[in-house]
Amino acid sequence: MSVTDEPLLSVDGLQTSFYTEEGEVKAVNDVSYQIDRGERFAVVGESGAGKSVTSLSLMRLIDDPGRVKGGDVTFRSTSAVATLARKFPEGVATENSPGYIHVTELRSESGAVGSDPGATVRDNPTDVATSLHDGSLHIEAGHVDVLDASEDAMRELRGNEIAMIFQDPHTALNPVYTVGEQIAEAIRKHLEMDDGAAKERAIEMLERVGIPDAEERYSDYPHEFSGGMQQRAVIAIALSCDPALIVADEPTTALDVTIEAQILDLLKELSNEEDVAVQLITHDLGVVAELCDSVMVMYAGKPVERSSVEELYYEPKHPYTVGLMSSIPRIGDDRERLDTVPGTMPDLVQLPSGCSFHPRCPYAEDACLEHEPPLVDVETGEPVEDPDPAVHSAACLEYTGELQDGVDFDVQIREDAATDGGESV
Amino acid sequence: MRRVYDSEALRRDDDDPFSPVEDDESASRNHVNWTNLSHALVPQAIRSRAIAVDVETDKDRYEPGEEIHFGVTFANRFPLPITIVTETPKSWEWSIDGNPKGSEVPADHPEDRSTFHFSRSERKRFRRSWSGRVRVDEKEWRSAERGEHTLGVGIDAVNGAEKLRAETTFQIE
Repeated sequence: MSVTDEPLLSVDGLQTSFYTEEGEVKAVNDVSYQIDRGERFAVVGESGAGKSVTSLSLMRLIDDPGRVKGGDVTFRSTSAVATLARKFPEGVATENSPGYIHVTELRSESGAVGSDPGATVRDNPTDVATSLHDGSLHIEAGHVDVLDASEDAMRELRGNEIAMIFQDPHTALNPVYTVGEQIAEAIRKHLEMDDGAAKERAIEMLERVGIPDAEERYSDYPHEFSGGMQQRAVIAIALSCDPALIVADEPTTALDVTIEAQILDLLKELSNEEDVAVQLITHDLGVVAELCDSVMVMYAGKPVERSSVEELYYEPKHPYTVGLMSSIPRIGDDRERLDTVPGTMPDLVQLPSGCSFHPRCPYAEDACLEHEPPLVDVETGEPVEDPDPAVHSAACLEYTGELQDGVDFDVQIREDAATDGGESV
Repeated sequence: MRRVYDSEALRRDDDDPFSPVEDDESASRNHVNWTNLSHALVPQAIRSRAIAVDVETDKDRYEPGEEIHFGVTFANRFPLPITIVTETPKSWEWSIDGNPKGSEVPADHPEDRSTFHFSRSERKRFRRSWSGRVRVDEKEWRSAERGEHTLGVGIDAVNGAEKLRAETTFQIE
């Protein structure tokens, strides 16, 4: 399998807990997914479902008392492998020594290099280059184990290869530095440009995210920007170093709908034209329909449904997803009141036995109290070991044949609303 | 209009007790971090005696399938801050018949030590409940058998853990 066939990011069995006096808060509990190059992947769920903690874990931004307890995060980018191998040769894995930088295929000017490419890279770190640059050793395939990487290596990855757009631009921007300086800082750090070149690129970035008169606005402070412009400045910081993956944590929650549409268009354009993968965290299913290719629904720190966006909207399989869908207000809807998912998210210190959703599920039976459903293929009922985006999977006993009465809901797709993914459940 | 700098709000005077002092170095010299001092001076053996542990269920008898609600209290008997060093980051744990959180699946807490801190004479109260179902596997539970069950609470302290435990019993009928 060549490197481009493999997903850019694989998250496998991720577990993150916060140890508080109340007990262990299991914020992320065995989450697996993968994102391909240029794919737009959504993580949706209520507040407290573990969406943001999942993203912060893969960026290694979990602070005490939080701990990433288990799992693997594999990031397959040859440029990331090349940069890290050059700067941290001691982290390159060889046949005899472990490491977090794995070089699986290496070429030199004369052809493919020996049986242990890791050792070759470790011995010649200065020669390591990607195929884009001149150099005697080209890394053709490799990956980085993000959770094992050193703190210095993570600082190289963050912002450069994996960028994050934070939820609230007011707190993400530093009020005492100009907006331009905050963008230029990331460029100077990662792209090793001098002050003048970094400023030029920062202005280019501001123009790109649609800030008018970017040259003038470069030296404005964040308070001189409107909310939408601040969010665009945060996006400009994220884009400034041409990342391979952008993790966007509710990027449009603080914005009005017209600016939201512009920001979504910008993210779409980036992923289409530059093959940037986007992991979008949101609780707005409308945004998911607008932007994303595939989606994972989370509940109480676990994935409950995973599928392509079309299948999720037209054929939701998990009762929680159905509940979320039916709580979306729609124009022309003649219902007196919106349906809601009754109750609240369970306390993550003591999760209910069996299926975590059973206390709120209208279809819950005795079996749901004693068996926790694994994520299964909804067609075959077979557990899904490898998170394959093409397989529609849901964690409900309905699909393992253990429910007696089954789940029973209708999805009606209205012709007039079908264009914006509208249906009522 | 009176400006803020005309208000003398920032007037500093060492002799006037109602205005900020010119030099606040003396104030910082008086500051003692009692938590750290107590942690340094109180012997380990006394620390585990200082904390009283108590656990109480809301009833003595429960129907099968009924949720068991209970309260846990940790009280610092000393008028000094006490810090207990724990084996794992988990400050305390409850168990049913010796199974942590009613689960036969072993817990997997990281093996790095942490601390459980009490201010002087502090009482910490926690409310918890148990569903009455024993976790027998990662994804399987079964109803608890009828009869007497023991609910235990303890701090997994590095020193004197045996003193930092409490137990109670209840019946499922």
